[in-house]
Amino acid sequence: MTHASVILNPLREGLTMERAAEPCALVIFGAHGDLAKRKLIPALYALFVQGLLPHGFCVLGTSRTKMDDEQYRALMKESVLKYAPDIDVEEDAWARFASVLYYLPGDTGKQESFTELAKLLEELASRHGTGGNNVFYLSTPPSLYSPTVAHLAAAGLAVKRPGRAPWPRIVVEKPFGHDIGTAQSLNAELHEVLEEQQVFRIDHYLGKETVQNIMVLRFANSIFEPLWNRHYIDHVQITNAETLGVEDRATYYEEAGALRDMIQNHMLQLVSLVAMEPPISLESDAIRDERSKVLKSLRSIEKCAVNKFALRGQYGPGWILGQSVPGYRQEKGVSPESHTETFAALKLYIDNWRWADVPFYVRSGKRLARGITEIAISFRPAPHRLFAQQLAGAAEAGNPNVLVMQIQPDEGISLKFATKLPGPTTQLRWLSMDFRYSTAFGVRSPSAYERLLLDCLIGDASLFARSDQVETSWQFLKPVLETWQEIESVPSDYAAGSWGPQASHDLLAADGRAWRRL
Amino acid sequence: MSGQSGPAERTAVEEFLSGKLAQVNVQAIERELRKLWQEAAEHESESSGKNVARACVLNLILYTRDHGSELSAGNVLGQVMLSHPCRALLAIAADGAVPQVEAWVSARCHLAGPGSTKQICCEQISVKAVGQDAQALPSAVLPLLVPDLPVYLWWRTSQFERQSLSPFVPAVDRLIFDSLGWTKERTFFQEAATYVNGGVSVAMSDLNWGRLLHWRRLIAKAFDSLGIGLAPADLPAIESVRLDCSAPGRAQAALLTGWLANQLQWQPLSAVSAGGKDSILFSNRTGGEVQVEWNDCSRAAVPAGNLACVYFNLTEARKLSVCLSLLDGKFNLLTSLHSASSASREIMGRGPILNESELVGRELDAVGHDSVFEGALKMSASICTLFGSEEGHG
Repeated sequence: MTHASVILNPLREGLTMERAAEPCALVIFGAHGDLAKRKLIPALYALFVQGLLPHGFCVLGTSRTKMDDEQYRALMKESVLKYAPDIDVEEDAWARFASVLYYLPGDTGKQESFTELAKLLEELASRHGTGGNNVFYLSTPPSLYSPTVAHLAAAGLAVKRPGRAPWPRIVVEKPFGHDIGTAQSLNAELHEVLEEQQVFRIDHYLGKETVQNIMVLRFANSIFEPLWNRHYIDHVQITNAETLGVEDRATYYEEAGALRDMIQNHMLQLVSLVAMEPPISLESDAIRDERSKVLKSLRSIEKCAVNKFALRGQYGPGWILGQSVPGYRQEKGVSPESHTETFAALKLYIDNWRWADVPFYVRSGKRLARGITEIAISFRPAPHRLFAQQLAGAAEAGNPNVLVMQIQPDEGISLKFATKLPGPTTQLRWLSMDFRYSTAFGVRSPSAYERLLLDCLIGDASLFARSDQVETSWQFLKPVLETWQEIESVPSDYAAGSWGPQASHDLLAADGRAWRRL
Repeated sequence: MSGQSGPAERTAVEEFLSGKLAQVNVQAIERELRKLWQEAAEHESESSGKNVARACVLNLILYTRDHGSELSAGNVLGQVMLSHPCRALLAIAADGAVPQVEAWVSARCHLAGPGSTKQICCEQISVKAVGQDAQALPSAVLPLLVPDLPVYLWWRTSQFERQSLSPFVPAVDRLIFDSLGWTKERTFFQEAATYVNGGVSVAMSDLNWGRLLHWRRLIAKAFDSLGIGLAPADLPAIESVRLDCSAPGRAQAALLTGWLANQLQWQPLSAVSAGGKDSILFSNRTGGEVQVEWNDCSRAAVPAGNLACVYFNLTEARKLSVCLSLLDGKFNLLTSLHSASSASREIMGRGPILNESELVGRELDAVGHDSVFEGALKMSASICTLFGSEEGHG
């Protein structure tokens, strides 16, 4: 709550009501797709029942599928029941939500569809008092981003309004381009018709509670930040492990691979959050400036040295949780000769005062032994190893203190430290002090999409990627992408259910380190 | 202590971990407790390989003296401990001809999470002082506080009893009470306000204030330009307010009125009770008058003492109403604005109805003074003073 808002309305004092969105209409392109069904509509309904949506609000879904408002409402209700079991769907609440939910069949390739869309939005503006403010959520294949934006502009729906509130807004899902060239082109096309403040590039990892907690942990506590540098931190490991295979995303994944799908966006955003300097304020650009600086400080990888800093793998057949699963090339929709990587690992250096020579190891893969995403900060050993002998007997001898931020599942934070075993002799044991959101707070955590959709409606872009961040990360990965493209050899095989190819373990072993046993 | 425990010790440990009260010597509560934990750790790892972890992030003292409330106090304390690992001290004052002080200890355990075998346990110490001086209970309870952790005192009784409360206050960070159950609310507000006025550093929480959170949010939102069609500039246009409460009990009406008056800088001028209706006259910031009425009403499903509806009359014949309905454990607050010049508008606030332990849990998350609440409390006390003394109002 800002001081100014309390002066205006003294009844707001002490109430957490600052996150109020202005009236608006949310238009979802690809409204019949998986993302809309699984994430967007459940998140909007959750916001609605919590009373967090503005008074003048409506949702307009559009896609090529032909159906009317009622059919769309019934379909979305089914989706909320199926994909959001933690949200109560009560008849009267759903009925009220459904009354602001509309559907318009349309073809994003045809300008007529946008003319019709503009007309309907005008009608909805007067019916629901949205004030003509629109948010356009592009939940479509990336190839449709540019034509959709161009058609919106031609219909007068996407316009720049310099110096005024950033309406209309466009939300773009990852991937933001396929490489540096396409990312720059996409940004240029968006900036042709919209200001940067009107563009919200969503990275759902940034909406997760633990990810948001990284900044709080670092900058609200005085005990970590003094240690958060090259003098005390030995290295950082960031792992995103999935047990799932390519599922029904083979067409997309064949073109993308792990580097584009996960590393370029989610993983590098996590690196920037862990490594950023304290922002001067909590304003969105102040935070994004600091994240951007980290990405700009990533040490470039020379093409001739790519193999020393990056590796890739592709899963073969194996076992996941007691089930036999096929290899990647046997998956439906995947070429039997595919060279697409399903695992990628990188060793990064951030060339700045704080992080000089501290390696950041990042890995992401499908069909790994366990589904887990975590950031592990490994501290240096004590300078004088007084208890080296006593620790040598322990199973995890030599492991230093580790601060782990677990992002999924079971979001939480743990700290590993040495302690003395009770008894007359001095025997040491590593113990973990755990904090889990699920047990510490008896409340439901909002989903990442709830948080991000609300932020977008409010106009807070802190948790969204800015164009320079996107381009910097693509620029950093360019040599790796080019080298992997040029090299004929296929990625190393790894068995489904393992922890990735041997080369991944070798990457750390070469530095005398090992991935954490997860 | 031997690693092998006998059948009698096992039974004692099992009972302790199951939450059953074990009577202990008042002079040696800590020692007895330590012994039980040690035995429990040995017993659990021996018999099932499970870990027992003790967790404690705060001290919570629950004071009760109402006859027959011990059991419900123990139960609600157990619920609170599920979400707030703490050392819970149940302080029971009771009348009796034979003075005595007794103590019991028990563990409250639950699994750390789905599929987990780790038990998270908190300890509860119950101390009962029968027929004793007011100093006896705090003298037995306060030394049991875990050092360097915040201390919350939950005053779970329908009387304020300054004599009993005062010995606890210097050791306490936050005092929690519930004005919903007060039998003499006017006196009670005046008593409670003395802790705000008196320069005591204890922070205050009223569970009834927590129940009003959604009312305050909706009313504040109604006067936001992003809300129902009113704007902050319309706040001085309030001419009168009527608060309907489900009888008996008007503490919520007093608190909400105190909040409105304090935030909007209304000055109370006079107060009268007549015909089951309380009327208070305020002057607003511009010198205009604002009439506030508290009425009893009977509204289906709205529990006694809870607000049912708040009606605002504004200039230009505008009427704003906020009304409560309850259904299936959830509340609905419907805010409607009617005016001659434009179509009616509505906004709805919804959410789960919090029970007592959930309300307390929310207060245990609070840090520092709530100046808005304290301002509302002081204003409520001022209003009650205007009414004069009471005899079992409501």
